[in-house]
Amino acid sequence: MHAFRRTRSGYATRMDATERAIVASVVGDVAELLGHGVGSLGEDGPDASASTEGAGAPPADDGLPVISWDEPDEASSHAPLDPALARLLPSASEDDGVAGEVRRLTEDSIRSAKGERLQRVWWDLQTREDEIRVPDDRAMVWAGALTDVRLVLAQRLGVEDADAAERLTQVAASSEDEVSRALASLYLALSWLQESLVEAMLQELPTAGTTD
Amino acid sequence: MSAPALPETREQPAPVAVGKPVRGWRTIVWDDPVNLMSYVTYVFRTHFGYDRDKAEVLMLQVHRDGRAIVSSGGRERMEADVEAMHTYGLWATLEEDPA
Repeated sequence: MHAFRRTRSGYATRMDATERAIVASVVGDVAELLGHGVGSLGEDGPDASASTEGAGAPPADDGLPVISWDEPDEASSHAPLDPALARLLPSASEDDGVAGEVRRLTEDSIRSAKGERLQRVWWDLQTREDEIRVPDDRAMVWAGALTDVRLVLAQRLGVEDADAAERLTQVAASSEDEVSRALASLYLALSWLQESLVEAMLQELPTAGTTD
Repeated sequence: MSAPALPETREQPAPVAVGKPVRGWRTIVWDDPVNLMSYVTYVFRTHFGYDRDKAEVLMLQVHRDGRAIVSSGGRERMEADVEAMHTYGLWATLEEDPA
């Protein structure tokens, strides 16, 4: 895996086939957690999924049951029970009443935005080339998706504070638990990858801001 | 394009709002162990349009103090800011301005 670098019209990184498969897998898992599984994407990628949706044509029968991700209670006012999902969809207020009202109004669109972002990145990883190019208008899609994946990995690794995050280097190197070693290594690699992307993105902003 | 004839009342001053001002809520961003300092700065710069200095001061305040007030205004606008922060993956809440 290479750091992102600036190109003429965006950013680019390199990942070999194994790295692409590992990253795509965890990106797909997080999309699924949000109810936007990548398994539902058509041959033409996430951009085409909106147009086929609701067209009445069910996907090819692969013998698997069609899973509906719509929650029975469509506009929930409660925080998700899964702690990783709760990290992706946190409460908007310390006041339960306000938090519930805001969740009813905003949770669906936040879920969709995150899900579509992850699907886009998953699709970008379905390439036979090691070079992955991210155009300018997709840089925030990647940066945001990497954030969501890292939030979930950190929750699964039990990272609750800065000290625990610091210890992940040790976990990756010498934890007795193989899964923890793998998750911590992936977390650290994705943190490093996101840092290289965002540092390059910051370089593209004007020195002065637009207000204040 | 022609201007329609305006009614006589147009010269009257607009009624002065006598209720409470719209301001009164604020958006707080909280520290978390995952988000990168560079990413938080980037979000503050691009979402709020803050310049580099202001965005970095707010980011460091989140990092050191555990939280920072990043915007204030009417409740609907603060809800939109919180929604945007959550979409970016930052942990934000809105609260009523105690002042």
